[in-house]
Amino acid sequence: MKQLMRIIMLAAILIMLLPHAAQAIEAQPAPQAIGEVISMMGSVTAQQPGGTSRDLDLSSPVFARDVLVTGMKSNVEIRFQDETTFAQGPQSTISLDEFVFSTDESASKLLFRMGQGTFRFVSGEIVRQNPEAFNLNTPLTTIGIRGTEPFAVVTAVKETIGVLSIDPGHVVEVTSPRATVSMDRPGLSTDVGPDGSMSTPAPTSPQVQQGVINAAPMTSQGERGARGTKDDLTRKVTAFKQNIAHSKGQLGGLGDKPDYGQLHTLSVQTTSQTSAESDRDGTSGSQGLGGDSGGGDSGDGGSDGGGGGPH
Amino acid sequence: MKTHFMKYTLLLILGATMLTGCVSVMGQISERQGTKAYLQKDYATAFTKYSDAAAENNAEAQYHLAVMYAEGQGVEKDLAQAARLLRRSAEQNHADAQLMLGLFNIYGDGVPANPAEGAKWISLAATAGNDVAMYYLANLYAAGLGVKKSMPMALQWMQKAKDSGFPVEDELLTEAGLNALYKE
Repeated sequence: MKQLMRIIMLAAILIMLLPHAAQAIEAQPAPQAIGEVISMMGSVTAQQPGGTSRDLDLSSPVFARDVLVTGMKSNVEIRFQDETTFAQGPQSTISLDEFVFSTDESASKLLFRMGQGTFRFVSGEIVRQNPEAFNLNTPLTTIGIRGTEPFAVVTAVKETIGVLSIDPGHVVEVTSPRATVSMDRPGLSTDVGPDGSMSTPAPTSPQVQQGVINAAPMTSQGERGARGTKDDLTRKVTAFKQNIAHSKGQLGGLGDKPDYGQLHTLSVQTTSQTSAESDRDGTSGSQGLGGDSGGGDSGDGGSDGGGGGPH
Repeated sequence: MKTHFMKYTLLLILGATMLTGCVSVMGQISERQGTKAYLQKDYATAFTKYSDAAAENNAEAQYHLAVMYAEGQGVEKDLAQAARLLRRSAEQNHADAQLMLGLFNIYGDGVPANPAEGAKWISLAATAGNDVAMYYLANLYAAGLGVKKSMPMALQWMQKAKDSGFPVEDELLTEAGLNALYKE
């Protein structure tokens, strides 16, 4: 009898708690996608802390706190809600720690943490809204970016952080526990040693710059990347088509003067789509601009993150 | 004597054709090298290669070079020079160049503002099948800018743009939607 009473009491307590539990579960908002995959090659996965690994494909969503991992001969390009674009080369890892894009500018925030690999960013709205709130971390540094296209190549022994393009008047600031350097022109980079020491920014060697672009190509900029497998090529053609449609959708009416750079990128993307179609259909001659450029056809989806640079 | 003369003339014509062909092929090679460098963000090399090709009157190179001047990529920004290069390319029926030259004229970039001239170039590009140009032409008709305002023409070009692959929003295929953009 006593046993039964105990069970009834326990059941009663549980029943009382049930609505609260349900509320608590309901109160958890469904995770909002913060961006989507706009192009990729090879194999790319995403994983939430404590969650299962998801295979990504074109148009797959990504979420805050996802850890993105690219395999060998792989790369991925992601467009975030604020139009920040990001590309990651082979055998690389990044954690999308925080991402908030809000009409309340002071609430917008981006914090991504890079592990080893090759990474590129083209800044979007969050940087325009609130430059201080856009931060990228490598194991050794924090990169503050304002109106720029920075890159990072992270290996076990050193990091190279540089700028591919930069809006006039803007600055990329890189801070380690030991030093801070600033770069205010495109084509500059700094090398970071394991102790956090940083070299004076100097022109990035063509091999390193090419290596970064080949490892982490951006179809949003019309770049073609390595040739890849037949599946990769099919995906690439789709990626260009979708990117082109997206770029066209961004064009306003006559009230907003068109961005000539954007219009030009559209035509470059269109040419690149044609080239990718030729590659896919096996009809290209020696036209491959992406495939035969440094590191492309070495078959690892681009160079392993540093091209010919000393490691 | 007559045969000699004919032979020499033929040789001359052949030589000239081959030379033009060579020049045109050289221009194409330089343009491709320029594009390869441009996609690597090696603007210095891209500028050199495009300039070489542009000098051979390669329309594609002239277009790319124009944009480098317009954007200050690898060269000091110079909209007037961009406009000149666009014109050379546009006159060779390069549709992207025609569209951009048209917009330069609409907005007075690199040239004095001349909406009618702008509309003319955009119209050429649209007629050639450029869907972005069709979209802009539709906007010009809806706004009455550079052309006489005409909703029927605007809607026609919007539909053509959509049929050619431009992602036209549904509202812009209606008179009400277009009117909302360009209220008098």
